[in-house]
Amino acid sequence: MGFAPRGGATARKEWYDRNPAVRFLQYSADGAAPHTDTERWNYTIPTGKKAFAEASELEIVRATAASAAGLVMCRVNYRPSGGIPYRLLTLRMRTNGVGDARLIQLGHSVTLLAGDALYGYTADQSTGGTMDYTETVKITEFDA
Amino acid sequence: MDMPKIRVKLLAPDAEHDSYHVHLPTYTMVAGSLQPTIPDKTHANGVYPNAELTPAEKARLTVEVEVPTDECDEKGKLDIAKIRKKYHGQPRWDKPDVLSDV
Repeated sequence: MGFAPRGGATARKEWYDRNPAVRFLQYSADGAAPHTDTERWNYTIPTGKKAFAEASELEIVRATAASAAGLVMCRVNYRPSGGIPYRLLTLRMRTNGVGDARLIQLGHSVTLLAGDALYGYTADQSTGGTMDYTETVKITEFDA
Repeated sequence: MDMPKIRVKLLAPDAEHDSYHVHLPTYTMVAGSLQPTIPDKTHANGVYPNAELTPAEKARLTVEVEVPTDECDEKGKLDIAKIRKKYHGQPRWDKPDVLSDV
């Protein structure tokens, strides 16, 4: 009795060996005034590709006090191909102290298929004051 | 990755989007690039909450974005054929008027 060898000449390569390409989605703004909900970046998986979202960092920091603090948000949405968007990561802050901050640093593995998309957003419903934002997702894209 | 920068329309919320956005499959907005500044309505990083823009004002809004090199021609301008090929079969992007709102 013998054992069939693992793999072989026709074995499929691992995902990280199938023309991998690193993608960084990053929006960074300091001293941004209040604003309504705004999409800061968007990434759609090309046809014939898949991807893993491997790490994320969202951070909001109050830079100057508002005259009336409102809801400040930084978020990432995931939209499956042909579907509706779902919220994936969200930071919220309503406090008004200079230096007040919220932070997410996350290692994870979100599988993304062709046509799926990730979106980054910021919003600040305050009156006056400014905020610093960082919104980053690291992705590895590879042949499907 | 060095990505070409281009100036494009910033679109107001609509039936499909609940935020100001850019109609491209992949892009990153350049901070502080929104134009024009309209007193009490817009600033370099966005539209003030509760600002009521006229349709003419909305139509003038632009931002600078970075886009993937493989979606541009040799001069760094968006290339419809390359975008359609890259997102072949995806209804939102593989269509002749894919750049009509850009």
